[in-house]
Amino acid sequence: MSETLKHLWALIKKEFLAILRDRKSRIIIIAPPLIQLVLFANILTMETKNAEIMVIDNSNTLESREFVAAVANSKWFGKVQNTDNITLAENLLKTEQIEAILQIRQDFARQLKSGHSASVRLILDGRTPTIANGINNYISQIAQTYSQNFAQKLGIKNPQIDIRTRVWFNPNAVYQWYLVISLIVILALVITLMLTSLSVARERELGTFEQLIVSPYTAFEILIGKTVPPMIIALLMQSAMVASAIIFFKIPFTGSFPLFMFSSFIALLSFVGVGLFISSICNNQQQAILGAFAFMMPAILLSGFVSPVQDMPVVLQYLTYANPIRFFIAIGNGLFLKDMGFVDVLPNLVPLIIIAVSTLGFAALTFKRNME
Amino acid sequence: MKITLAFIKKEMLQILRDPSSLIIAFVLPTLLLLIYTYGINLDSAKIRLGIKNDDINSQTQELVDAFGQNAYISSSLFNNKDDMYQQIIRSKLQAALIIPSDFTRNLAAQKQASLLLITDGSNINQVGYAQTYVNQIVNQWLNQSGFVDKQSPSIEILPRVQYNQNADGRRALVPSSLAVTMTLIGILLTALVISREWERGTMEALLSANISPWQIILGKYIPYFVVGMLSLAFSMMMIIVVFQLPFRGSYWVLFIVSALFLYASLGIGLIISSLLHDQMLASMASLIIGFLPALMMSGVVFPIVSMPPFFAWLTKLLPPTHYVYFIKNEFLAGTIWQTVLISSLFLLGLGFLFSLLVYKKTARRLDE
Amino acid sequence: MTETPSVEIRALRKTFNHGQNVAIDNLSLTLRKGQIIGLIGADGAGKTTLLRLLDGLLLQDSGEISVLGSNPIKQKIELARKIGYMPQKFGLYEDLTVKENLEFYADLKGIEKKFDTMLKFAGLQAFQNRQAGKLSGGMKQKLGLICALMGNPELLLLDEPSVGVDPVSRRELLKMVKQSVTKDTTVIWSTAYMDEAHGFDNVIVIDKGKIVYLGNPRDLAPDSRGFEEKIIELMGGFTPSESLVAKNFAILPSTIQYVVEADNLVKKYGDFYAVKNNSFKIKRGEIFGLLGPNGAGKSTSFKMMCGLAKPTSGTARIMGYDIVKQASLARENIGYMAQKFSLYPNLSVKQNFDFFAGAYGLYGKDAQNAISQMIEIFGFEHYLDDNAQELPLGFKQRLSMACAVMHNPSVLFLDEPTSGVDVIARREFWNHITSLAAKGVTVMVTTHFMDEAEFCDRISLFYKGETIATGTPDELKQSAAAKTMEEAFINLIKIREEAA
Repeated sequence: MSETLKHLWALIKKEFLAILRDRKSRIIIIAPPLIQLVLFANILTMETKNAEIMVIDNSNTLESREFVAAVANSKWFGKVQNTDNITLAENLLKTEQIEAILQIRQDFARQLKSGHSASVRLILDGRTPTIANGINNYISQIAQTYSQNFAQKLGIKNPQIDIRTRVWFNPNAVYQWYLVISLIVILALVITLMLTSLSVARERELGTFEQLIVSPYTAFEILIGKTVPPMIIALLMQSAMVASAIIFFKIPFTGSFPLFMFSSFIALLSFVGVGLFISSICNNQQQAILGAFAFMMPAILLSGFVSPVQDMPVVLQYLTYANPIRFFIAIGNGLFLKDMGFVDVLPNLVPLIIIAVSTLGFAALTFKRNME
Repeated sequence: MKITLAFIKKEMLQILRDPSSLIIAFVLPTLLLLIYTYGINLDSAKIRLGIKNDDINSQTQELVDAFGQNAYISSSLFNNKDDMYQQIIRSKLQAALIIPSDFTRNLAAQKQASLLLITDGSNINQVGYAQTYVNQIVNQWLNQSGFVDKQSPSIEILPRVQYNQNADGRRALVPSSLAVTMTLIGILLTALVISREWERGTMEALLSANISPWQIILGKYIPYFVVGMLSLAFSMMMIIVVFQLPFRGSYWVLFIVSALFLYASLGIGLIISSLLHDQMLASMASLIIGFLPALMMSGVVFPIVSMPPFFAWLTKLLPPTHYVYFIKNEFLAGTIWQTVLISSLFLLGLGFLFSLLVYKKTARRLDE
Repeated sequence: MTETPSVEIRALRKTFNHGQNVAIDNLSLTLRKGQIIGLIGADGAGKTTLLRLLDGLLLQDSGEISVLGSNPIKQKIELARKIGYMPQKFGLYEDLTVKENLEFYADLKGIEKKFDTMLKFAGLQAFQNRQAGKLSGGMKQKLGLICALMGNPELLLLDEPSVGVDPVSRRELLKMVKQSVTKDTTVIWSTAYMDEAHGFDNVIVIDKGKIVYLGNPRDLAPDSRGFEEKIIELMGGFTPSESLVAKNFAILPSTIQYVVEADNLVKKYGDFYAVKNNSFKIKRGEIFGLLGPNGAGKSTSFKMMCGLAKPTSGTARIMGYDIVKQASLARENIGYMAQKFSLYPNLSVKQNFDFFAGAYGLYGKDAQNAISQMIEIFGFEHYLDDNAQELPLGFKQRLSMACAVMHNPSVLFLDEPTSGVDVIARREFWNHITSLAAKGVTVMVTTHFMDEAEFCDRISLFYKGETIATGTPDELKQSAAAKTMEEAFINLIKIREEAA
């Protein structure tokens, strides 16, 4: 090893030790992200599942029972129960013990048989709009299929449109695929930001930063020393998460793996940069923690993970250009599922490079200013 | 009592001296409220749809126009399929619709006509929206087109959305988001306060004074409780006065349940603080057991109903779950006593459990 | 009726790390009321542990403690009113003002908030509204002492109250204690200043957790010099030998005459001059001492010399390199020991050594050799895997010193290197310092021990940001018409104050 490398290695080793010094810290840094990936990936979904419905069948005919059976037998809902008591049903809805009430009118069978439109009342809970929309869509689909079949039975032949849907890149529309990729990115941000945002602020608070400044390390060397250990930890953690995505969650990896690793490197570098940038402007750990949270929360919310970037107001869309996880999620999805080529990855890579270079550059400048 | 008061006064002075606590309490919630109000939309999506029409005539033109008029869809026409597909890979389009050349011919012949809808499965949230919107528009167009003339049986779903007539997601999301924000603030404010006393050496002086663990705990709870309540009141005011969301409940009930919620949240922060005497680990823990579960598992973003039953039950261990449950009602439905009672009992129980843990973990000596 | 003793200890034992480190070993002790007792011992001998046990902050493994007739653990609340405890680490809130701190502690103790006399006496009256963190070291200690004295405690436990305090303030601390105690008050005062201990009613000398002497200090020796020798003897003795640090020290040859140069250094914070027009030149191999009261600007000067603070104007040169313009080159020649312990508290002793070796360009075998030497010289065999923050104060200082000299720097900046170290270690430190200087290492040092000042080749006396006198120790004593350095220090400052 050359002298310069040995010199750097002493600093890097120290940073590693400071991060992973005892069992408690190692556990707190390594275990939770992995546990949370598995936990969240298995339980979270925006789809409507297990919703419970109360049916008030005022028609009580073969047709209405068939229709209710169609609802009950669909894979989308939880318990579907009958009742005559509208007050009871409304009370259950009010206290969120059921998600919807389906009320079939007395003339349901009669209307259908005479070739008319039979109306069905669906009472939904607007306090959980996602679920309300989901139930509405499912019931509408069931109704459409049921009435088409009914028409056929009556011998009415009408032109129909069959919308053949293809879900590209995720043919069975597995929600987990989408979730896992985004979670990996979010957890990677959480880890790196925690490792880096406190590192300089902590040394300032403890007075050890003075020792560093007095030592013959240059500002650039300190920057490298502060960058490499969290980068390595984050890269390892990320690789573990990516491996579990491929092995346990069976998410296909369609793109170029080297390109993905390269992009991950750049993305993590930009996360580290943001963390060190925060750390370099803070005098103590409390400020650094505040800074890290003030960045992290909007970054996660405005990443496209919770709701798509293109739906945001233009001002916020511009703001997301400073959000590295937005671009990393796009790259992750692109390379995992879409076999994106380099040319298509590039527009997402360039902002990451800009963020990394500017934040790390700023941090280095601050160190340099401290040393003069 | 006098000692506790002195302690509270000291804590208050420290809070006032360090602007970062006040930034956490008032600036952060404002920022997050703005984001939740304008940046997040959970129940509709703008779909960019590419259309390739291989059956150009006045009827399909009407269909294409119908897409153009829909508020949720912005459509663009393509002449080349591959170009269109490329746009999907680049995430410039979320969906692509191909109208085949025999489309109107089949319809006119009373046969089944088909459309091909391709969606970008890499963003699964949008797939459902794209399918629903396209389906609605196509069927509407079909019913109004000349192809269907006979009377035909159909089922019309008449949805009525209770508590939130327009199913306006923001009205549910913005109040619920307070549960995430306040969890974070409660934990952030308190997670460091005891670890700081250890790191700076003042704990030794406190332990040597005649101050009991209860007094230390009360001295830590009360000031941050006050700051938290002020912060909460401030956020409420922003929501009701500035963002003009209707509030149907009772301010008294809101005050009491919010207080219980804050009591439980502060408990989590104080547990972290009394267990981890290191600020970095304490903040890491706040993130892991505070912010992430509150965001993901409390029902603000991802519905609890859709979780596997065991985990849906597990979310009851999180204070924000109960607060989300409560506050949505308070805003949208008005006070529902049963809901208020259940969430209050849970919050009180969790808060009490956490205080017991804090009490157990508060050191009485240096070698504990 | 016999009077209850203030402290009664029988067969006390306290260990740490599950019995691995014995801090107090079968110690028995009875102290009657109404005396000031000095607590002396080597670093890590168990002084702090003993005081903490008396205050109920630690639980003993075995043995019995009775403080003022009560059990410190079981009757902690009652005792808390009767004991005044001043921890070694500043136990006050740095972000609260002097007054707010006092009010807080007064409330905790349930006493009236009347501090005027105390504040006036401590000279803190003008600083009531200043945040405690912004006070100078001496003022902080005074404030800590006022808090401990509140409520007229019957037993006062002071853990090294005079560490890092200048001679003038030290006298004031003692005066404060003496004035505020009654004839029944017992004071246990842990100290590393032998002249201080010599004046107390009784002293306890502990070594390796055991009492090796308990009695009147004047019985050991009539004067403080002799007392110090006796104490050293009791603690195992010190025979000056060749400094191993200096022996193995490989200094870079150089032809530069003035290794350290300061030219008109000024540091201004707003309108306040922390350092005014400071100029000096230090020859190769010279020991240059900076003396002055707390807050006079010594540390600021130090920091400007090492490149930690940017001078408002003026230049500083190390080995001919401008510390601002050629920072990296200048720094390679510096060994720096900060006033406040500033090694990595969460890393072990060994890990700290490894890092600082590497940081200053020692690798592989060279590093291992240098480190094992330091371990041997400074006695770290038993502490290698301990976190630096858990070390006794004296060992923290040794570690800082070791890290500063390990890489054979041409210039040593030592900011209060001996604050908090025991008498023997102090002699060892100075043995190293003088031997290094003899080898050609240039040393710039600050200290509050006036006997140490005598070892300096030249002294610059700092007061309110300005040098008020420079010269050899003898020259200074002469100009102040004083017998000892301490007297010279006090006189010179008085002359200056009167002139102003």
